Amino acid sequence: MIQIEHLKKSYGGKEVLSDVTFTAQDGCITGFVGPNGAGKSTTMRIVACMEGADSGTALVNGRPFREAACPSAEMGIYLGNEYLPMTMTGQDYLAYACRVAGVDVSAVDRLLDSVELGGAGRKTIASYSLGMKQRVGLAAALVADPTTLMLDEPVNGLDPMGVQWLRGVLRAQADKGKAVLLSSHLLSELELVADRVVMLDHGHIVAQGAMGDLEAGGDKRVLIHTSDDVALMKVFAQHGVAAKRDGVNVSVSGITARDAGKMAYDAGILVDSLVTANSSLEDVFMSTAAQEEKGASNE
Amino acid sequence: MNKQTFGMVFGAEFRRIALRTSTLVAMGIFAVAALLLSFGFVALAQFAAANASEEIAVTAPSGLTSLGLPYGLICFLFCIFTAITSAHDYSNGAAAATLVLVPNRGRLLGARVAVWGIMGFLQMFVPGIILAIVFMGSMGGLGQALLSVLLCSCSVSLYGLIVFGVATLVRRGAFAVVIYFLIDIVVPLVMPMASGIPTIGGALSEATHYMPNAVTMRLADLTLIGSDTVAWVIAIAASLAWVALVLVLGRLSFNRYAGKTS
Repeated sequence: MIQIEHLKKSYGGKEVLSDVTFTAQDGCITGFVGPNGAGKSTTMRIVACMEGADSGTALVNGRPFREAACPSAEMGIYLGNEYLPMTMTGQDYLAYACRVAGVDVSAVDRLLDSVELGGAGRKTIASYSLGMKQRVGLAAALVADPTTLMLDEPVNGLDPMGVQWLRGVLRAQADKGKAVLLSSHLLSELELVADRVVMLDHGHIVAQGAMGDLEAGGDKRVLIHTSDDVALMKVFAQHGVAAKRDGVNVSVSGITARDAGKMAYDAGILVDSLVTANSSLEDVFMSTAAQEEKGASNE
Repeated sequence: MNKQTFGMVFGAEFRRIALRTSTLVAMGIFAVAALLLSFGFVALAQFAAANASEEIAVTAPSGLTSLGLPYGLICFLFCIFTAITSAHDYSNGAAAATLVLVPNRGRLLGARVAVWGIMGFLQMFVPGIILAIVFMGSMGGLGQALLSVLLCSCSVSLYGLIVFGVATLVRRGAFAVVIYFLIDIVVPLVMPMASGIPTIGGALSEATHYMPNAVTMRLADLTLIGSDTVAWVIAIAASLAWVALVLVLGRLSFNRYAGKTS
């Protein structure tokens, strides 16, 4: 479990974290979302004791991470590719991780195979592609089968198969009862994997809760599948209804499915499917952040 | 769950730093260069002695020649290597990566100090043993020779640690090398020249005797034991004080290191 309470951090007088409080529970994937520069990486570096907070606490299983008797078994960490040793080979890096964790070095080959880097272990990490670097970073985080995982933007650079693979790994870890804290600015990806979400914007928590609760609390949207999506979007625009593409669908909010269907029918557009859905995580984040900004400017 | 101990971290750091190919190659080259320097100089001196005319007295090679020259070369080369290699960890991601896995900074830095200290010792000790065996005759016997080697090895180890501390403090290889040159060459040359400055000139000149290169060299001087044991003990204390000072400053700097590659 990762417990963060009233965390504050400033750089050169500029506040980057302001009273951040949340918990990444055991058995749960907690998505830590926010735009670039929101403070996600800073928060994670503080949890990993890479830097200190101005005030507040960040505890892993009840104590600061640097006080852990077995750090690698308490928390596996991936903070990005700049925290990888570029001049070491993948094998040497994982062997180092095994040694400091008290794990038999013979596990290195198994670890490399588990992240599909079996043939690249003898190459230097600097020669790896972006996705390969992420895989080796993840392998190092999993060396001692930790009770907690903290990953900063792990899906960046992974191909679709890699993303699917990572989802499976994280889900399996959470199903074993481990706490997984996963940060990303790709809200659509987090929607598929996170159980709980913590939203951060400009160093503030703007919302947090179970994924379903957050999405249910937002505006409903209507998803329409049609082969004539361009024409349909023009129709909605003419009616003053905000519409956007959402994958293969056209998504509108603020009107009922009945009204959306009638507009399409009146314009002679054939609709393949029409369904009401909860807001996407992106919609929830955008509306929450907008409310926060409005509240701040009113003050 | 295995508790992370100093021994585990030391073992991992030793394999990472001391046993990587580039380190072994460099230390091998330094040792060979030192041996060649010593053998070459002794051979030259013997040749000169054998061919000198009666009017010119040429002294036989001494312990200074057989051990002192290689000691000076090894110390110089090893310190430059230490400055560059240990600072490079901060630019190639190794320092950040190891800190993620070993969040106890004292344990991590302590392991590195032990590794570099041992490397410095062995860098001098291994070629030194060979020289002691070959030149024991001119060094007062095997016992004296081995004791000289031991002192020189300790000296290289301590001076290497001073440079390691500087590299940890500045985290830039080029900067660390410049500071090393300042400490080792520039300051010892300039400070005696300042003896003419009124009031403080004498103190500045005297301070030269307590600079890192001076105290570590005196530590390695076997002739001091017996003839000026107090000076030798003071040299040991001063060397250890320099090591402690630089490592404390390095630790304070390392505490603020946030792992971002520079």
